[in-house]
Amino acid sequence: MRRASGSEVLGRVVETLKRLGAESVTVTQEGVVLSTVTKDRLRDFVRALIREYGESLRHSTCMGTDLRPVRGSFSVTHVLALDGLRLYLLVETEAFGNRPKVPSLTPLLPAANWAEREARDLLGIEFEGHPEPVKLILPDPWPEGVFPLRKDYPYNKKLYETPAQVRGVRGEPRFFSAKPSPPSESVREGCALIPVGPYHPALHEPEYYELYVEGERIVEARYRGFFVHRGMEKLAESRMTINQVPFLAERICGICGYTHACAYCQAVEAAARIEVPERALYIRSILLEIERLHSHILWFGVAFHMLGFDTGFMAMWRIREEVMRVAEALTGNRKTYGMNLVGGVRRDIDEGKASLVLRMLESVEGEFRRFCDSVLSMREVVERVKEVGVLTREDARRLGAVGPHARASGLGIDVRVDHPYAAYRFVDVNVAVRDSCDVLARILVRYDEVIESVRLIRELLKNMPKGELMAEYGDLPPLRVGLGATEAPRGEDIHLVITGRGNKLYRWRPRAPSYVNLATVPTMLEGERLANAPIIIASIDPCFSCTDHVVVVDLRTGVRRRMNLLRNALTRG
Amino acid sequence: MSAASPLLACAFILVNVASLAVLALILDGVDRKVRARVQRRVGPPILQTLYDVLKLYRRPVTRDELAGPFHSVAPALAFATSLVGAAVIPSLLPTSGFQGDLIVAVYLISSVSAITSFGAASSGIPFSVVGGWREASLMMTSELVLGATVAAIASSSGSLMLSSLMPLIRPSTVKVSPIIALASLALLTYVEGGRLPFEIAEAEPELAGGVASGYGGPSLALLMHSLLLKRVLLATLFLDLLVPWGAISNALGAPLGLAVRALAFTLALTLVSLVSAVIEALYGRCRPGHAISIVKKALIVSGVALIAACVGF
Amino acid sequence: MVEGLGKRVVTEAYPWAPLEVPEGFRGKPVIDPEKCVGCGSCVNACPPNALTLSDDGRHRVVKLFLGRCIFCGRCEEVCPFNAIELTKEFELATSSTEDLVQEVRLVMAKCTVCGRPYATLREVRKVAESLPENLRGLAYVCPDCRGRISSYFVGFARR
Ligand code: SF4
Ligand code: SF4
Repeated sequence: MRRASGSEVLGRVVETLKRLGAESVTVTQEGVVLSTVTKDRLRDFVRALIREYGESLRHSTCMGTDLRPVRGSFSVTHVLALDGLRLYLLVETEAFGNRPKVPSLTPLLPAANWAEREARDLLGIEFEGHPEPVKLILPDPWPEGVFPLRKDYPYNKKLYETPAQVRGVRGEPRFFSAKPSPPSESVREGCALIPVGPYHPALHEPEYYELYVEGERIVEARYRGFFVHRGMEKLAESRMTINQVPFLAERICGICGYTHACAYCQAVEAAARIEVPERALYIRSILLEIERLHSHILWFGVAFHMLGFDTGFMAMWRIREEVMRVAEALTGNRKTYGMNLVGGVRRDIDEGKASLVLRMLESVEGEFRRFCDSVLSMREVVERVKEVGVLTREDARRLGAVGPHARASGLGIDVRVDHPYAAYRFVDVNVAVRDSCDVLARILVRYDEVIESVRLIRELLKNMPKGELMAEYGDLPPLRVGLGATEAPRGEDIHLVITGRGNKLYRWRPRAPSYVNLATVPTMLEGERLANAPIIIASIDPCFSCTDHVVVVDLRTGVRRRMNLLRNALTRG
Repeated sequence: MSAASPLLACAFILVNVASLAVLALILDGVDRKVRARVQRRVGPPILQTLYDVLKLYRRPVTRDELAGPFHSVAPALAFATSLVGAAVIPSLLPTSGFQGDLIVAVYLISSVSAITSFGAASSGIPFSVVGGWREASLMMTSELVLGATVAAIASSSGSLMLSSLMPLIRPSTVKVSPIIALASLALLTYVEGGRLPFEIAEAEPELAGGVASGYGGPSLALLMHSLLLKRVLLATLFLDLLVPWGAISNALGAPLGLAVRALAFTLALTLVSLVSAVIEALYGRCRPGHAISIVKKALIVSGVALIAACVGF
Repeated sequence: MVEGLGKRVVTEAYPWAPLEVPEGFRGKPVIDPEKCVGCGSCVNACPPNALTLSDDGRHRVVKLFLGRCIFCGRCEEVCPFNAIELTKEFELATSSTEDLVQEVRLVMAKCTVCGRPYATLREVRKVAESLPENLRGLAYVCPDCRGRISSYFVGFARR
């Protein structure tokens, strides 16, 4: 079958969008179409889009913006991906007033749930008809009517100035309360809560799962996170210039930071129409694959540790160390590469460095293959992960799963292929897809991706053209929208920017892949045995890695819960 | 060979207890070193476990309000029990021994497991409660194996005194049952030594904590020490039944025989530890149910051994 | 898997033995107090505000606080005089904040017309050196006065 050419497809999509009632349709950059829709028509418009494109329409994220200083309104921009057509559709709606209201898309596209709640928390935009209008990001004691991402909220303003204010009326600290408060309806009548935690020693990041357990089966799971929301967007929008933000973006993640720096730069480059030199694009891709290598191998180590197989853990981290050393030699640091500026990269990969990389690939590929092959042939290991933590293809689609997680559920989506960026325009990427939808599939997908990364780096190094590393450009044009998407090790990473004046950003909205993947965890946990919970949670390679905080609730019995837990412990397996 | 005077007997016992107590810590250090080596790490110094325990002893005692009363006495009780075990079982030096010391030894070793797991179960901490019960469930099965094994050996050689039991030497005709029983004892020494893949209680990444997770400071030190001592006691029991130590030292005559015996015994213990450490490094933790089912298979084997012994094979 | 036993150990003896870092490693930035002219380019580029500038009338102080530094090397990249460079040093842990601060104190030049301190003496000299002999005096005049002088001349020429 002939694939329709890019411009043909684009023309047809633009036509469709107009036909379906978009007020205006603009192609803002290659592969990105922005339509504006009035808020009364938003639902109908999106419903029509779903009818038109069906399964292939994926809600990626949404961005709320306080545009009052420039347009007197708030805007909400939904990012919808049409992966098969290599397009992102931006759907923008305006809303006025101090408590603006727009219709929620969550009833139509469940994947919009978190992103809408985030905009509600931070900007005070109400989403009418949202099925779960509760706080997501801000802590429960946060005062009503204070919206930190609005432009009239200074970035350095403290919510409470005096210790007495912090302590609050009842003398309890308002913020760091001992229990992370769950949504109130989750505390069910007559249930006993056993907090498993508060500190889970295996993996160390704050998040909170509530598992409702009947006997030894998990019947319902709830998640609460965002305890370490750092307000990076606010910081970047208020205080930093465009070439300072890449370094902040890189610090979003402690493992795959470079992919954020790339997505950010791509977004600004798209907004400002900056042509990045080809050599720089190649260097970015090479480093992105190096990052994927170390991230995946690290994950293998963690997974082995989860299975109590520490020799495997050590072996993986030993192999990974070679990748880290090479990254350090290429960029000056093991992990925060700091290679990007808007318009290109800061350091070259010369012959000598290239041969370092090739030597590393040789040994990493060999050792990784040998070790993992022998582990994956162990019946013991395979049995512990087979048919565990199933996420069906439909659920993965519905909840907007991305990355290896989606590919293990049979969805062949990969930003490197669907929305090519950096040097992926010039090389072919083989997308690893498995369809057993379980933890084993996630392991195998990542295995294939490690091998594919090795191949890609070799090819990129071979084809890398000579040339400049950095584009020349003048001042940033204000109020342009730009979108940057990369395939992070964990999936699609999206950065949206609106440029501002004085080489600053008006709005920056990064969305990490775990953001959507985490939302699939409760679905995977339901119906599983309690003992499998940790490896299931870890199987999406979340940016935190396990549950610090799990509350076990038995629906049948309150008090007998503890005994059941013991019985589980005895009989499970 | 037993010591001539009661005074000397006491001295022998003291030497045994003291050296096993120290060896337990050092052998764990050796273990860690070996495991590190398999994983291509430098690893901690051999005396690291000793340092750890000494450091923990200097820490303040903490009290947990959630914990039941048994929780806090368990480590001391377990340690005392394992010390008595070290006094009863002949090891570096022979003990005077008495009819039935075999049963006492088995009983003491089992008690250490029971005390620690019930201590953990009364900690009030879900993690260690789970760990404690996992340990207990494994223990109940493996203690049966221990009992059956020892019974098989005892009945085939017609004695209940450790120093006079030499299952592989004493009987004039070669029998099958002691060999099977010893094999199953070897497995048990490994399993009950709390080693992977059977170390199911310490499943820290799997939402279960080990029996130790409710303890800190001196009580943690005591607990660790008694678990390590239990590991050494199991190995000692195994070695006592495997090798006719008494015959060796008798053949050479005191005091040379005693010195050789002490040295050889230490080496043998180290060897058991080395082998276990290498095996351990190659395994992941199995699911608790799976661990128990393996031990149940061992139970069948030792049951067969017992029956074989009774009918005279 | 047991093969590990026969192979070289990979963990480092560090901190008991020194650790080699590669060429181009981005470690502690150091300002060369002899070269720095206090132009402030690095201060503008530094993402986390580890570099700051302050004037007290007589002196300008370029202050580097390593506690905020992210070792990105932007300062090194933008400094027009190669006065700040990243070193290979990475052992920066200390119990006193003072160890994390480097200050370069530069004397200010006063405008020969209005007397206001407007730039560091060193920067002014650099500028003067780059100007032709007959215009050198202009470097010693603050930008405001310079503007006034030149508009006077322009006005004069037009008249
Ligand atoms: S290295 Fe980066 S963070 Fe550190 S002083 Fe220089 S510009 Fe600032
Ligand atoms: S270090 Fe360089 S850039 Fe910074 S103030 Fe000094 S001369 Fe200017």
